[in-house]
Amino acid sequence: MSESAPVLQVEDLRVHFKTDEGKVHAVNGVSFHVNEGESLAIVGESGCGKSVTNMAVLRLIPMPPGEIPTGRILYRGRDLLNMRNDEIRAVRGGRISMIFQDPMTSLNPFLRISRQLTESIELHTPLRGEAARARAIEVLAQVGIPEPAARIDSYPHEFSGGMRQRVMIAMALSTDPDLLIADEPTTALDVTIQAQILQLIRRLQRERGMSLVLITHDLAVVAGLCTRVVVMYGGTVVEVAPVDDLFADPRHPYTLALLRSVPRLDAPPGRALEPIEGLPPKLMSEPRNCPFAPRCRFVRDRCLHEAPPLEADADGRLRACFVPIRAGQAVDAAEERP
Amino acid sequence: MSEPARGETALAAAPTAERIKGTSLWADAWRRLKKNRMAMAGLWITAVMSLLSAFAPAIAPFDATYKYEWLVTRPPGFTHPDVLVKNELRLGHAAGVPDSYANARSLRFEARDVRRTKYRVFIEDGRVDRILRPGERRDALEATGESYLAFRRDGVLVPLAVDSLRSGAPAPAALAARRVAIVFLCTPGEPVVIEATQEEGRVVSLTRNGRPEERVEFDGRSVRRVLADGEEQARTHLLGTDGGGRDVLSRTLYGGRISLLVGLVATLVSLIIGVVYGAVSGYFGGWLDMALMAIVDVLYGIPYMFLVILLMVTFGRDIVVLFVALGAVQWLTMARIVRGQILSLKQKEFVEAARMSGTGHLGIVFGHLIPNTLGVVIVYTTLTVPAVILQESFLAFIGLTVEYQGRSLASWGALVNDGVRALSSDGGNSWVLLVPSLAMAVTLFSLNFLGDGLRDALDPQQRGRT
Amino acid sequence: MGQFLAKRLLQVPVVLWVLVTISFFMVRLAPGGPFSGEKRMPKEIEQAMMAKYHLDESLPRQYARFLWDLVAHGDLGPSYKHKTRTVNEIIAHKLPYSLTLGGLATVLALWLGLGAGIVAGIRQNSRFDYASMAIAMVGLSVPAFVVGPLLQLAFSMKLGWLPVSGWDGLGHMVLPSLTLALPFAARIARLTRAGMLEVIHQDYIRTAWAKGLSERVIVLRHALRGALLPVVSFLGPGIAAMLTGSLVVERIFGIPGVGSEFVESALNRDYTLVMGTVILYGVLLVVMNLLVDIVYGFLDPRIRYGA
Repeated sequence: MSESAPVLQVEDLRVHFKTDEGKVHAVNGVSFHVNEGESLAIVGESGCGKSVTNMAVLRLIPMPPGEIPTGRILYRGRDLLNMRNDEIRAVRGGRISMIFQDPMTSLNPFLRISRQLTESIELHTPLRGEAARARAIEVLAQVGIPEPAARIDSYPHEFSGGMRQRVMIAMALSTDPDLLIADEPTTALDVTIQAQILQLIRRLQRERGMSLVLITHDLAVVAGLCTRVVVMYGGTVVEVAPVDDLFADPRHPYTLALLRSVPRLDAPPGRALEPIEGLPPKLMSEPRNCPFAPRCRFVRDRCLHEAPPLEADADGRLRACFVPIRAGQAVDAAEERP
Repeated sequence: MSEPARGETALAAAPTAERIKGTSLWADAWRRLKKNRMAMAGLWITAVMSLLSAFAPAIAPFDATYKYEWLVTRPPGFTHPDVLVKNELRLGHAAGVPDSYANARSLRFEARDVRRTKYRVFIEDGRVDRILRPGERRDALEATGESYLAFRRDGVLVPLAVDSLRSGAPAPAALAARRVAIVFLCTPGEPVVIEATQEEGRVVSLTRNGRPEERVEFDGRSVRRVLADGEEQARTHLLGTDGGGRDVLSRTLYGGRISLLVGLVATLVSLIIGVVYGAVSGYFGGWLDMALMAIVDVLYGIPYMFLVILLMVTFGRDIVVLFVALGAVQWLTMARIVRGQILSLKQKEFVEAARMSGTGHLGIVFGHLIPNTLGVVIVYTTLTVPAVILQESFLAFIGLTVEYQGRSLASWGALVNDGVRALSSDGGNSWVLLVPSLAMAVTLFSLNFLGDGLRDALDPQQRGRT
Repeated sequence: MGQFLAKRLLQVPVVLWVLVTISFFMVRLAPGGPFSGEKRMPKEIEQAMMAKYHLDESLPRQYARFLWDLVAHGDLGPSYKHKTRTVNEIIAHKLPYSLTLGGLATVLALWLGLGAGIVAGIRQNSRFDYASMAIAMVGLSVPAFVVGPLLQLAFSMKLGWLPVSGWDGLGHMVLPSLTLALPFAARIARLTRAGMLEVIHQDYIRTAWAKGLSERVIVLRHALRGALLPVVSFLGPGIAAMLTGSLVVERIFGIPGVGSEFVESALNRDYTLVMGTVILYGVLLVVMNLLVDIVYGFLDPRIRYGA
């Protein structure tokens, strides 16, 4: 683990949304950090708050209906939540770039690719006009767009989904950001294309020494790409671990359930997949219990009345659970419910 | 599944666990609609307006076509004794007075004739130049103690000071801007009291100033007071009268009937044509769809209101012609919307299921597809009604009032037209314009809000589109 | 785009032919001849009149003659009531008034509607949003023939700022164009707001925010085009509605344009003049729809490139 100061540090972040049905507590006291040059995965089911957390990083939460009652988001020591509008705009797309899930809808259909690329470059770098265009062609080449000089004046609808996601990546990288946040960058793509895009992101991240936050619900994606994993559930962080440790020794019941619910090549043949029963919480009120308790097979009375804090185990791994778990079993196995 | 059963306590105690409610599309839409305050207000106002119009004959205080000729353009709240324009009492006959007196035993009419002499006043540079009584020239008016002077403005007699007109004297301010003014010198005649008693709906005794009479006729305008069985009889025009002496409130209530009827029926016509056309086009697809939609495209390019006007001019203004004409204008959009819906619906599994179970084309279209377009159709229908009402009012405004069996029907548009035409330069008779205009505007407003709300409620994807 | 436009261009003559045919037969099949409303006319004179206007020929011949005159010479024939003038002359004389009125009203409606719609869309649920949408609802619900007289009452009669009616200089144009523009502006404002609301929730607008662009750039460069598409589609039928509205507005304000002439001639059963006006409006509408299609294609590259 790098000892240098983290690029990004999120502390006790809360995000609420006011809706017709009431206030949704989407993110409830999330803390994590991203080290320099590190690639961090944030994993969880849809609706667990992982995307909202990262939208909050760039202050892209529409307010209203959203609100951020507490929290700090430090980028190189400066709180993004307190920045003036022009300061945060310089960070957005300049220092921190984002890639979104659906490349089919994330590019403006009315503008040429060239325009969409150069407006970023002109905003965040000293390059102007032809120089900006040359830079745009250069990044398009880097992300593997064939004949970039010819295709740069195309419209998004003239590209395939995979190509569009490459354009999105080019757009995000064209300004040489320190941190790239990729929000489910491959979910909307064909499986074969997914692998290519992930390869591309990994290569570019290593070449540029840039930090990466990869948001995904797909554990398979995490294994090859990231060094550390943050597991989120119900708007909270439930476990943080280096990727190999997490797979080998999950210590939160949710992580365990998550791992058992996906197929693994190293699993013994004939082993059944175990779906996680029940539904993720709706977060209509401030959680006063462990959010996973209603679905947890290790649940105890305490879990229903008290929210477990995110605390370090003896070996320094962080998890938020009252029940000690080793090798897929509660250590005091008698406690497990019949 | 080997997953251990969870205790009830876990579920009950978990504040975040939510029970999944099964709600039907309609219940859901109604819930959404109820939250939209403007739409609900629109719904209530529309309902009230519809009821008022539907029951106009029962609610309207006056006969909407009866002209109180001497009570033209009276302001809202104006009260007058309840009599007819021409009243007649005759021994042994039913009384020729308002129907409301049919059951009264004794009737007493206190009247006073007014003799009016018409003068023409010529004004130059703000001074009275000369005063002409037809045929002769005078310098002043011959007034007796009880006389009063009035001039006609917007059909109403406005009083003037009696001694204000004299040759060479400054003209009264109200007349100063005119060059010629017609004034009336009104001299009240002797008071007349007519008394009658009725039995079984017939006049059995009749006196005039105490003297028995066979028959008495009297003018409504001369009547000052009416007593029926000792009680004073007066009627109030809550919203005033128009230039023809008709009750504005009653006319507006009846006008609403016509306007809403036209709106509803023409919309229904367009609904039937549009839904069937669109459904057939969308369901059968292929060349038929292309041909039918090409026709719609072509018809879209036609300035329809002009054809409707032409139609009404050439084939008469009967209300049936109007229903067909306006309905024929409106169906195009409905056809397009329904076609679009059917195109996506016919891909769905339930259509395949119906087909496999042997349902014919007609059965599928009318039994399965059209019912599923209901939401969109309702929304568009709600928005079509106000559009049609507006179009009818346009026609009425340019003089093409609807007729039924040769009788002109005064819709809101026609009433507004009357109001606009009668509007005086100082707006002094604005209620004649404002009352039907407001009734119409409020109704259209409500229907539009209701339509908007219904769209948001029934068709959330379309939310906000117009 | 080329193919799309070609299809549209092919439709133009069809639309016009349908319009001419419908109105021709509607007029000729109507009960009562063009002269039946007039004072009793000696038989010989009536026959001479019928012969002069070729009304004694068979219907198909009349139709063929009318079509030929129209297509070959652009000739709409003589007016039945203004005996010394042709329909073409009358229209040529009246059209400039109507075009000026319509043009002014269009500009006004676009300016008011787009301005209010964009701001209301960006500031959803703000006071401006509520106020402008309430006014737009009034504009939709209160007919021009109510608005017009009320404006006259307020600005001409009470305040005396503007002339009541007539068409003689800029002062005369204010109230009529405002009256005509109002419902149109209301529709545009609602469409623009709805379009704006839809677009600003699109993923690509989120992308634009994530790039660090300013709100102004996002609205003007990224959001506006998409938001305007429904407005542009509305302009075709909208202009048709405006032409209809001009019938009323010209009448209220005493403007000697084609609209008031149409109403007059319709009520007088001057059939050739009525048909001429209908055809004129048809042509205007078709041209407008074509322009709208071109603008639409210009705004949306997916259509331009036939995607």
